[in-house]
Amino acid sequence: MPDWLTYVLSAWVVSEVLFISGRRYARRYAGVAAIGSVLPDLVKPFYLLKTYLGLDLIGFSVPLATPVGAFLVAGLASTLFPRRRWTRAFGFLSIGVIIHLIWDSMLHPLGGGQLILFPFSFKQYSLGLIWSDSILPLLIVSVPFVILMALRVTGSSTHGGGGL
Amino acid sequence: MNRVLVEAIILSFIISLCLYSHVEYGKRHSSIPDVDKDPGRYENVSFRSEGTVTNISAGPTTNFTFVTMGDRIDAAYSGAERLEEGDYAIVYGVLHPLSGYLEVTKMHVYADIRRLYALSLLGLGLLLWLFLRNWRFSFSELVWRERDA
Repeated sequence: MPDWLTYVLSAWVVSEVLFISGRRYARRYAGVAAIGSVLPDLVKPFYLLKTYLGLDLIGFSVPLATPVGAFLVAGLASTLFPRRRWTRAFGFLSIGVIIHLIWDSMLHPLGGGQLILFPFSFKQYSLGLIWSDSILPLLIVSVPFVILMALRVTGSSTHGGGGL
Repeated sequence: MNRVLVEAIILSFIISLCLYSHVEYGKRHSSIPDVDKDPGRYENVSFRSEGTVTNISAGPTTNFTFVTMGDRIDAAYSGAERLEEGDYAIVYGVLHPLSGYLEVTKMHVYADIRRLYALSLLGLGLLLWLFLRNWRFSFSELVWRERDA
């Protein structure tokens, strides 16, 4: 997997683009999208359990990193928001999940691959474009990030506000 | 619909998938302890994992101990990748448990695993800041509310 900074910046970029395109609430939900972007990594604590306590629940945790499992977790997490915000919260959590899955699908197959068709198949798919330790995803997402930040700072100097 | 009911339904779906995976994933993927328990069954079976390289001894082939999630296996590698003690790597190869080793055929050594961890910590900090500046937890209602609501 790429680093979390790549996922979170990607979530911020998408939220900012939604804000610019007229969805005024999108900036408030950038943090929600950011949480969604790391939700599929809920499998990682299970790796730690195996490493440090010898408790092997890796197979049990696998669905959390699959599209169907991650969207279900996003659905569960959206119930932690007020009832009238469930749909919007789920939407932004899902944006984050999709960002995560897109980045992970680009990884080299030697690193594993995505169980896209789970629970119907355990076949793993990947595009094999980057290694998980590559700095390339961060560099790629930095381009729209810098452009959007520049637009925002420029806008804030004339209208007030600004920052992330 | 009632919040608790919605949560119970979604949670039951998640747990069902996890239980299904626990049974089915185990049939398709094996850990090093599985290999140690029944070496004959895993002879010439392919193996892929991520972990740390240690106890390196260089020669015509590079021999090392591969440590993954607390489990260890002796490995032999004859490729071009140069290894250093403590390297974090993805290995792919063929198991020879009857001879007591993993024959590594493909390998990718991480440039710097600490950089990945450092950037992830930075990402975690940014995530918390982005979220907590707009949302606060209401302990009376057990929901996240907008700060300006």
